[in-house]
Amino acid sequence: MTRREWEEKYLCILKTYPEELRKAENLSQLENSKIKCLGRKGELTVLLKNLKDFSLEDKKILGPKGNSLKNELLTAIEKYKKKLEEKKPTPHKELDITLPAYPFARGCLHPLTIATNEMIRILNSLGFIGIDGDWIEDEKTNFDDLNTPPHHPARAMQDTFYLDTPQKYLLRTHTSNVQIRYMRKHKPPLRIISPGRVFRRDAIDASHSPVFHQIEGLYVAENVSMADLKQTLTLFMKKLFGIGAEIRFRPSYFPFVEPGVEVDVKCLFCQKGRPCSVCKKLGWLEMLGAGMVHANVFEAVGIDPEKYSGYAWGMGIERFAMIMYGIDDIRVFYENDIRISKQFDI
Amino acid sequence: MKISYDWLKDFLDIDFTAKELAQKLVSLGIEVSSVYKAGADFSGVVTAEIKKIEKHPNADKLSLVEVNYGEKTTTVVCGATNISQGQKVPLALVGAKLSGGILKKAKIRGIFSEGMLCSATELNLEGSPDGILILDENTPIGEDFALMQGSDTVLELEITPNRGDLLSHYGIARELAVSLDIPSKIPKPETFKETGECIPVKITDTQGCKRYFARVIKNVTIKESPQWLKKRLKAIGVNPKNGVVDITNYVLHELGQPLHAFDLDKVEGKINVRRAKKESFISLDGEKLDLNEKCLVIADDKKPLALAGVIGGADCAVSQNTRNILLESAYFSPPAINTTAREFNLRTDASYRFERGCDIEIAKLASDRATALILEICTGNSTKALDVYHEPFKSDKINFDPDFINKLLGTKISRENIASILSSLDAKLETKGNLWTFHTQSHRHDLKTKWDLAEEVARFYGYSEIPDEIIPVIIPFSKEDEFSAVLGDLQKKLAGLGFYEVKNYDFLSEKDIKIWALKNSILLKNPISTDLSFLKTSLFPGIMKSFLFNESRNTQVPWLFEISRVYFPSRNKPVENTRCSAVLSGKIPFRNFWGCQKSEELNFYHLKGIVTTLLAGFEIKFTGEKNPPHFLRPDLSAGIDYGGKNIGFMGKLDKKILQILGVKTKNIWVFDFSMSEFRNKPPIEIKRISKYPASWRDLSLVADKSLGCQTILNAIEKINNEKLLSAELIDIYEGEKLPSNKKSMTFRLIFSDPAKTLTDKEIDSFINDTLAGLKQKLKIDLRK
Repeated sequence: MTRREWEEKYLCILKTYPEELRKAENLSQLENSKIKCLGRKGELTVLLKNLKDFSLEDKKILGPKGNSLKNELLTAIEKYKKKLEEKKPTPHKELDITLPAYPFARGCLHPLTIATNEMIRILNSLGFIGIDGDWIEDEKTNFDDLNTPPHHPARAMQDTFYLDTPQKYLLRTHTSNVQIRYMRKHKPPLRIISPGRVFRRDAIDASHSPVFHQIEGLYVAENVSMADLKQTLTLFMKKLFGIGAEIRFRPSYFPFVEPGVEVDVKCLFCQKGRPCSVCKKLGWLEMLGAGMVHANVFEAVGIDPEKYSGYAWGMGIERFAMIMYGIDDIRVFYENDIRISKQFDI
Repeated sequence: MKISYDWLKDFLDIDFTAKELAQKLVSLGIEVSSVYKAGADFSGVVTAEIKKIEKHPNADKLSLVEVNYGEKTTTVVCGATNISQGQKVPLALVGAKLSGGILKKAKIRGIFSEGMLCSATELNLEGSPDGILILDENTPIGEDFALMQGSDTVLELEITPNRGDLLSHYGIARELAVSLDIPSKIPKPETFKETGECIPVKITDTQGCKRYFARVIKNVTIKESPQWLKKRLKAIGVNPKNGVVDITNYVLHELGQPLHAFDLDKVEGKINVRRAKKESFISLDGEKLDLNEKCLVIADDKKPLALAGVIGGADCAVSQNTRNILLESAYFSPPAINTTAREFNLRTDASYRFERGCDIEIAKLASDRATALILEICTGNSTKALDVYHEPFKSDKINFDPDFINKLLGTKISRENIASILSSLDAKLETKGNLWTFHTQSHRHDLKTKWDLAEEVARFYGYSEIPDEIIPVIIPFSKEDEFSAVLGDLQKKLAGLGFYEVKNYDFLSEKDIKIWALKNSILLKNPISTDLSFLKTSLFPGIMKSFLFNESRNTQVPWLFEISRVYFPSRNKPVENTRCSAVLSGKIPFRNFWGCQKSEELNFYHLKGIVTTLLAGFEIKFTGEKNPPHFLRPDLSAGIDYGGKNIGFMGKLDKKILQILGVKTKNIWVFDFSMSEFRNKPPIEIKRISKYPASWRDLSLVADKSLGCQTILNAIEKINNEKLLSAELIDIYEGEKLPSNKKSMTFRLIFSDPAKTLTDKEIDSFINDTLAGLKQKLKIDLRK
């Protein structure tokens, strides 16, 4: 390279780069220009490298000239960089925020699991611990010890599934078998819940299913009274249905409790002047059965009914879920239509 | 059970609206499932007089009838032939509601008819279906005919099975009387002339039958029942048959005592209440029943006459020709009737009451009441009654401390109030000191203990009056939350990974068992249908049904999982095992635009990734499945081990099973493992993180293709000490640059020391040790 060539190139750089750098619209343009000029193989870098072949005299003149240009450019780059960094980015033209979201995995729990979890959460906060139980049960635990003697109507073959096994076993007809098994092993005080699957030999229709779910509660200690029962179940119902829910306690009968109680919630769907299909115009929704644990049940499991008392209650989970989610056919829960399940993905 | 308000008033002076009455009943524990009007079920019908009958000009069989209904005269077209001038008839005006619908103005053969003359059938009334209903000549005209039918309110009640005493009008009246603190009118004993003797009666099964009150009524004429009686029966849904049968039904619904009338001339010899032998019997319904020794029967010397307390026999049923009857008013014990009725799956008004317990003391009153009515309506003469009643009812004593009641209820009811409630139950009550005595009554089978008395007090005091303010509770300390903590987490993780939870019945069909080659399924003794006759041993038949259901309704079937139990027989109690099973298919991601841009077919490693993520924290191992289930591709399946035991499997569903099931999707993967081992969450142990930087080295190793990655990783971990923080596979190469039976695997080893920064020299020595070890143990070399 001759000195003349060198100076021409120098002038060329001097003409091009200060202008190009000034015009840079963004940091990457600026960076590109910088590389083009001052990178390892950048035009000015190469030009400065070429000085080594020149005479000392030329070096003395050309060297400071080239280096001062380099410094000027570097200072300019710093200045533009700062300016560009301070500048707010303008909305990107290429980003279409209305494109579909990337489909990360989405699944959902079964509506009955969601309902059960909600009940467990409330009852845990009221001091009940969860106990699991067998689904296959013997007659003594499912019936006899629950004060349901052999000729009791509830024991008829048409209500209970029996297994074809050498010894007589059945599919539990309620979660109350858990009470019995727990009380046989543990001394009061007891405060438990047991949610789970139960079986009745009902023909399948919109309101009957041979498989369904219950949640059961039991509290046994000294001096437990019906007032305790009313307190806990009122709290439970209000936490489930809202503080404004109206609760009604009325007498009923279940063989394993005495006195027996039925708990109703004022229909949440009745609108003035319109017949309500949810409560069938009765105004109240039957929510759960309850009562004070029968003395015969205590005796069957070896707890002294003179010393201890307690209450128990049981509630159908399907029924609750049907009311809460506006499902009018129990078969929906076992059809597993994902178009229904997806609506619980919230 | 249905109760007529009108009938109820026979025993109780009340003047409530039906709604008030229903509320009162509910507060006592008697559920009211519906309230409706009985009597006329039509409206817009008036009484009218026929003024003139002319032939229809355009039709031979029709007439034009001019009728007057008080204020107006109108003309209707009529096809009946039984009408004549001056008769009183029901006239339905335009807009009337009839059983067939709403009457509209109609042009019949060119002439407008302003209404319609009605037949009995059109109004749902008693009488001939043919011809117009002709009314009594004294009937006033222009009156609302529906009102003339009288109207009654019927309440449909749900009586709990412990309260047999409430299964009658009198029973309900007695209960309401206590609650309202007014007297109920006790049915009056009837008197009539009795001559001659009843036929002999013997009770052989004294356990099954505790009282048999019999009476013969001779020379009866079987007549239709009078209107008032029919009306009451119809109101509560009982179809009138003939005078005698209607009267027995009437007394049953009035007093709660089932009665039975036999045609005496069909009875041969003495009455015997006994257990059946191997004999057969034709019931009133015409059904042939094969009896056995479990059944209680009423028999004569030769044959069974009735299934005691359940249903009578066809042979000796009262018919139009019956002249002499035997009237039975008995007390059968609940277990005997329950057993007999259950044997044939029969439920009648009688068995329903006997099973729940009748009032043994009311048998005579009921028989007297029925006899008086029969004599009045069907005439005849009654013999003296025969009362076989070996052990008359004896009251039991319930001793209790009145404070116990307040303690159990959480109330402060005064002693006077408790005494007043309990003594109003028609019972004798002794209230001395702190030990009171309640004497039980024959109609209340449910009152046996002081807890039962507490319920009585609570009911009449009012459940709504029991306090519910905040009471401190005892929360027992318990470590034992038996619920699997892992299960809830797993469900949520699965949902987070994109699975939808399904729930299926616990039953399988024989076909399911065959398709899935399942073994050892427990059979149900009494399935609902043959399709649902086995207990499941696998969750897949159910999950795949859900899969199929959704396959036809979605572009790609969402991933599904179920956590439920399977059942296996064992020597004693069958075993229940909770399993987690899932099915996944298609591409990831599969949804929308992005799925179309770039997606990947689901493969074995995705499956392994999901199972690993699910069971993170548990040291599960994947093994070559030695005996993969037949529905899995043997080359694309693996076993899942935990704690040295196989707990499940995973893999791709075989083409064959997809064909059998009729599944269209091709790339379907499943996994299944037992949850029983995962009761508690694994303990969390924190490892200290070194303050000093870690260093890493990548090693490319050449090994036989058959050598598994895990084997090498295990060896690397074994050779190194705790300074090896982690070792993981980052690349695999197979190809031209290597012999065909070899592969190269690159592992990244990360080293760290808690106390210092490791020097290159130290790390080099770890690497050298590692390479030497691997060469010696697995014949693996560093790739050159």
